[in-house]
Amino acid sequence: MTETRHVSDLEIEALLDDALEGGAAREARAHLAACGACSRRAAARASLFAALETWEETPPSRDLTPGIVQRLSHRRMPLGLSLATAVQAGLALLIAALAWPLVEPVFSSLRLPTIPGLEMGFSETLATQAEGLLLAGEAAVQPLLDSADTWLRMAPQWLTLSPAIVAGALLVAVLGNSILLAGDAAGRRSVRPRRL
Amino acid sequence: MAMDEASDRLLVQRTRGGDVNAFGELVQRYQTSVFSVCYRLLGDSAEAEDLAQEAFLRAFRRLASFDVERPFGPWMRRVAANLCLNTLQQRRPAPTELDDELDEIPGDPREMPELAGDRAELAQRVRSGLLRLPDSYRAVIELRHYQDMSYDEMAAALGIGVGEVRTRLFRARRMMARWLTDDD
Repeated sequence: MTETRHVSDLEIEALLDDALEGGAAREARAHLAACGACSRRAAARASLFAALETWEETPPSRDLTPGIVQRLSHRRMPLGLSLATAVQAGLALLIAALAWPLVEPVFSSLRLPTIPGLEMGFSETLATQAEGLLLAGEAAVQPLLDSADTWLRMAPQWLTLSPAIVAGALLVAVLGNSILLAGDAAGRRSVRPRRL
Repeated sequence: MAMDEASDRLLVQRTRGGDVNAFGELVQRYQTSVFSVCYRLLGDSAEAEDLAQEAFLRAFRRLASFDVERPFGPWMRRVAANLCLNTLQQRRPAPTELDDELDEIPGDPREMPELAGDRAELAQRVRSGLLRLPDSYRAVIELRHYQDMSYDEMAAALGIGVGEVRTRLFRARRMMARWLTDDD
C-alpha cells in the first residue's frame, strides 16, 4: 500500500489564495478530491474566507468631502509671484517719482482744507470747506483745460522724460500683469496633482 | 460598474484639469470604502477618519501618475492601505507573535471547524475578531482579502519576504477561525 502525502494547511491556503504553482496546484486538487480529511480542512478554510467577506462597510461619522475640498482649494501665492509683485510695486513707485514733475502742477493747484480751518466754528468751517472744494474743483479742471499750455511750457523737460516714463509704465503694466496672470494660473496648477 | 468607472475616469480628468470639486465627487463616492480600509487596518474610527482624509489628499497629489484606464477605487484603497501601513510601522514595533511554531499536520485538533450561522451575527464576529488581531496580522488579512493582493505584492507592501507573508496569513486566519467559532 502506498502512503498518501496529505496536503498541508499552508498548501491549502496557498491553493485558495491562487498562489500555488501549476504542478503543485494540480497535485493538491487531485489529493483534495480523493481525501475526505483534507477536503474538510479545505472547506473549513474556504468558509473562513467567505466569512471575511461579510465585513460590512460603514461610512465615516462625518462627511470628509468638505474638508478635503477646502484644503485643496486653499491657494497660497508662490514665492516667485510675491517677488514679481514686489518688483512691480517698486517699479510703479519709481515711475511715479519720475513722473512727479509732470503732475506736480496739478496737485499744487489744488487748495485743500487746512488745519486752521478746522479750528473755526462749525458753520464757518463748513462754508470754508465748501468754498475750498469749489476752488479745488475749479483748480483741478483748469489745468486740464489749459493742459496744452502747461505741457508746452514744460516741453523741454517733458520731451526728455516722457518716452522713458511712458515706455517704463507700459513695460511694468504689461509685464507685471502678465506675471500676475501667469502666477494666478500657477496658483491653480499648484493645487493640481503632481507627477511623482 | 463600467458606467461608474467611466464617470470616475471623467472625474479624474476634470480633477487633473484643475477642478477640485470633481475630486470632491470622487471623495463622496469612495469615502466609505476608504474609511473601511483605514478602520480595518488601524482599529480606531477617529484615526481612520483622519487617515482616510490624508489618503485622499495624497491620492490627489499623485493623480497625475494614475493610469486612467484602470479603475479608480482599488487604486484609491491601495493608497489608503499604504498610508495606514506606514502609520502602523511608525507607531509601534512589530508585535511578538503568539505562536512560534506552524501547525502543518493534517488532522490537528486546532483545525478550523466549518463556520455556519446567522450572517449578521457572523459579520459582527468578523468585525470584532479582525479588530482584536495584532496589527501585523490585520494588515495581511486586509491586503489579501480586501485588497486582493498577491503574496508578492503583499511582501513588497509590507517589506517582508513571501514566506513571512504566508506565515502571518496562516496565523492570522487561525486566530480568526478560533474567535469566530468560539461560543462566548
